[in-house]
Amino acid sequence: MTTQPRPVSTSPEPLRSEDTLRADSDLASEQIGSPSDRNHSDRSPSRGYRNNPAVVSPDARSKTRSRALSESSRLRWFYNLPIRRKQLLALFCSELISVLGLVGVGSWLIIQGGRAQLANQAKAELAATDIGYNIKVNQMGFGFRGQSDNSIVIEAAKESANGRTLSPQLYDRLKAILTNEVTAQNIEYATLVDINSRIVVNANRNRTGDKFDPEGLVSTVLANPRQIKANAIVSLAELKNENPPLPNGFREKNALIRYVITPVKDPDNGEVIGALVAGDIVNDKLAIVEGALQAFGNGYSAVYQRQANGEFALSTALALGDSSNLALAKKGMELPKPELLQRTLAEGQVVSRAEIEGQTYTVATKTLNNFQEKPIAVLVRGTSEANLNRMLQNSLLLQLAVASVVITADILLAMLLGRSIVNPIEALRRVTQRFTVDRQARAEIFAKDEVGELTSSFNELADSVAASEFLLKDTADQERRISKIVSRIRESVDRPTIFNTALEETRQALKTDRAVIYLFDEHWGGRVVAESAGKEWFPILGTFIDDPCFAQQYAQSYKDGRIKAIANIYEAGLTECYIRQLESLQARASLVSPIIVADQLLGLLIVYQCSRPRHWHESEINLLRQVATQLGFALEQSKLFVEKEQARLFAETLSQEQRQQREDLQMQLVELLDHVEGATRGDLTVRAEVTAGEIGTVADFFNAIIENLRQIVTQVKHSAEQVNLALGRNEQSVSHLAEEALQQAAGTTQILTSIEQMNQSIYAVSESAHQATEVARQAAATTEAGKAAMDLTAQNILGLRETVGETTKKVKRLGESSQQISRVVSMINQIAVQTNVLAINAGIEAARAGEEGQGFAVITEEVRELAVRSATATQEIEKIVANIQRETGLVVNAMEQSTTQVVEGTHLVENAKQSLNQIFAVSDRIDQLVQSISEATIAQVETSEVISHLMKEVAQTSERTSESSREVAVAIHQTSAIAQELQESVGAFNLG
Amino acid sequence: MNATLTITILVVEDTPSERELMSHYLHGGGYSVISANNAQTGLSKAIECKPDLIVTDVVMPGMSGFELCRSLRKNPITASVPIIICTSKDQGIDRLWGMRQGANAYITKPFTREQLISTVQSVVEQHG
Repeated sequence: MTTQPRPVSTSPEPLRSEDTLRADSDLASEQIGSPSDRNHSDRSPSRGYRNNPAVVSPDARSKTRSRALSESSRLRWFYNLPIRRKQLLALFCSELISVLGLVGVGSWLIIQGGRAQLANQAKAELAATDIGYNIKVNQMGFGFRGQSDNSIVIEAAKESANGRTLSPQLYDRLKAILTNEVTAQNIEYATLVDINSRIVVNANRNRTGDKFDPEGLVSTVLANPRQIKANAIVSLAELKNENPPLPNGFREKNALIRYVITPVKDPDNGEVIGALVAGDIVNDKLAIVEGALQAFGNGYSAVYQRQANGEFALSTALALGDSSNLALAKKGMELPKPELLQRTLAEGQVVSRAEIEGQTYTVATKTLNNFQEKPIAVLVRGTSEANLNRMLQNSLLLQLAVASVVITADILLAMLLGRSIVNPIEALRRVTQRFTVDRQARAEIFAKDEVGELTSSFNELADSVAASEFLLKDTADQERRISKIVSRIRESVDRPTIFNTALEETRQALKTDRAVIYLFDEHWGGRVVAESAGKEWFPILGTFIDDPCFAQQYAQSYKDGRIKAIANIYEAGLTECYIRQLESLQARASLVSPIIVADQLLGLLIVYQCSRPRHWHESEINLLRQVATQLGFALEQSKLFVEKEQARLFAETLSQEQRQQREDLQMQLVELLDHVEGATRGDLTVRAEVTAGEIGTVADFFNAIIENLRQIVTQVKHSAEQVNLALGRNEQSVSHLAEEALQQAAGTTQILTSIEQMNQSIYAVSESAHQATEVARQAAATTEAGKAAMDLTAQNILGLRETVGETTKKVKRLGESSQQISRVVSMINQIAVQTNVLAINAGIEAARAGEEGQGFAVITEEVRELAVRSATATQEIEKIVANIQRETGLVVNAMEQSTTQVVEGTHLVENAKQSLNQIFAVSDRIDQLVQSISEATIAQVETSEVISHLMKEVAQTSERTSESSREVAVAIHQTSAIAQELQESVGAFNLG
Repeated sequence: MNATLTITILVVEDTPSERELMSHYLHGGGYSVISANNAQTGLSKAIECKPDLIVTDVVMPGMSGFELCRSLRKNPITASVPIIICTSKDQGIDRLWGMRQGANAYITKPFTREQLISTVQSVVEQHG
């Protein structure tokens, strides 16, 4: 059975010692398998390094390393310190922390506690001092409340309230009382004021009648009767005015004062009738501050008053320091920190620390307010810190002593630790160092603690390293052997040499009795083609082995690269036939590796142990496999080399032939060029020789071209000659043509001149005709005017004739009328004659009648007279009418004569008109004729212009013809020259 | 045989042995043969004797067989005489060129009797 081989060097399995490997090999006589298949733990339980926690897996190690790398450099410095130093450093640090913690923090806590205590104490003492300050005020209150009930006081107040002056006795007695109060209570002011705030009696200098109302307190009490107590500042001037007995050492300045105002009431009706004012100055009165010092036995007490400018001035102070002897107290010591007072002003109450006279105090301060609740003074109490400091000193000393004891104990402990931990580790380190050069070095186990385990692990590790190294060395040796074989194989590309070298080297390396190479034929039969064997073994080179089972049984397995190892041919479960075959080869053990070239199973590399059975080691199997692989490569390379060599030889031959061909071609080309070279000089008789070679046909191609060329040139030559001849003839004709054209041009120009003259004449005619037209027009116009005048005359004459006709008619009618008148007049004459007859008749009658007929006779007379006159008038009329009739006849005659004349005139006019009409017609005709002449003339002019233009064109054409003829002549000349040149050029060709 | 006897073939070949071989074959084939030892003479004889067929070599001193073809085709008297080129030039380009110059058939040397005779026959048949 064969298994997939596995290279030892690249196995992920931990390296094993040699004897473990050998144990494996014993088992591998039949089966070469992966070592990882085997259970390992039961083989070497005693080593146990797999389960030993001291051996860190590579994974864990790398993690630790990466974590360590990420630490800061300071920590790295610490890590790099020797363990002993580390231990000492840690110990020193822990000591330092302990001492600093115990002594430092402890002391700090004690100091802080003490200080807080002191602050509280100072505040309490300040409260007590405040009480002390107020006791005196209260005493004053009690005293003066009593005095307000005093009958003398009441009486004096009454008197005063009633506006009466006190009797001297009363005054003296009251004065005595007040003075007594001042002395007894050690106060400065004791004054009785009336309801108008005027002094009735005061204790000191007599100020009776003066207004006394400090800070408005008196008015307040009088308005609202009750006892009030208030702090105030009293001016030095007021003090001087009162002039009380001042305390010893009083510094002359405004002073802090405490007033108590007590109302004085009338016991009968309870009305306020005055007030008692008591005043106690604080300044430089030690009693106020002494009380506190006495009570607490130490410290500092003071009262500061606020000045007008806002700063504080000391009112009274006493410093006792640490001492309890009051006699040693110092007066007037000021606080070194005035800002403390200002802070008090802002905060009401302050606790701070201050140093006075080299003594440190915890200082508490509070403000004192006036009646308006405004701070006007500060009360100060300082508690000495001397006691606290003494206590701290004792405590520190004690702690130092304890610390030194602890440090000593620690040093001793450190030494012990060093002995038990550091020394063994140091020893282990030294052994480790020695191990780098001496693989036998092992550490001594000192104890069974972690260090002991570490030492034990190191020893195991050392064993393992030694074993691994041995294995590695072995592997390296084999690698070296393989590489030597490979390099030997690769020295040649010759197949037999490759085979022999490979076998020789392999046999030597594996120390086997025989090594052979066996190549397959296409039926999986085969022959031994190379052999290397010891002298004592007969050669089997060339032996043919035909195994019909091979193809089915092993071919595929070998193709896959399997290696077959047989440790003992009799124990491998082989077929009898196979065993016999191996026996015939004198084999007892065999190792077979396939030779594969380009995925083809080519043959087998086999080593035989003939002397004895043999267990093949994995390294030996590996070596054989590698040699077989390399053999495959070398064969492939050899094959490639041979192929390449053949290809090269073929290519060389080919190129030789090609070169020969090229040279031949060139020779033929040179020959061809030699033959046809004459053609470049115009010799068209050349002929290239048509040879048997490739160029022969090309040469004939040239020949064909040259033949054609020869033919063309011959034709050109002929044509050129003909052209020349034709040109000679043409040249003359053209010259003649040119001359004729010139003559034509001259003739045309003459014609042109004549036409020009004719044109001018026509112009003149045209002008005259134009003028005639004008004249005819004028005549026509005049005739027209005459005709109009004639018409008018004719009309007038006709009008005259009619008028004459009518006048004649009228005159005739007048004649007729006068004939009628003549008849009437004859009638009238007859009437008048009859009337006269009648009147004579009547007169006769009347004369008959006598006198009665007288009247009648008169009338008849008158009528007769009338009749006579009428007859006369009638005669006259007859005469007139006769005249008229005669005249009329004359007129009619005249009229008839003029009518005849008029008719004649009319005829004459008519005649004249007809003549004029004739004239007009004639002149119109003349006009028309002249017009037509003019028009004809114009047409003539145009025609002559057209003719002139045409003539000009003819002339130009003639000139151009002449010019062209000349040009043609020149061209023909040039063509002739060209034809000549062409003839000459063609002449250059040699046509044979 | 009577028909072939009337057919005259002009052989133009500069190499005497080849000329003799060809004449021999053609005689054997029943043709009447006249010969010329160069192209110039061949041209003269062609005009003079008006043969029915001309067989010519190509590579000859002076005028080549190709030129002979051209000359024969240019001359009205010989323009329609069928020509067979028989030469040792065996390249494709040679054959192409030969046919372009007016040859009716192209045989490469060495040739057999059958080749020559069959070619002559086919050319004669084509030209009636």
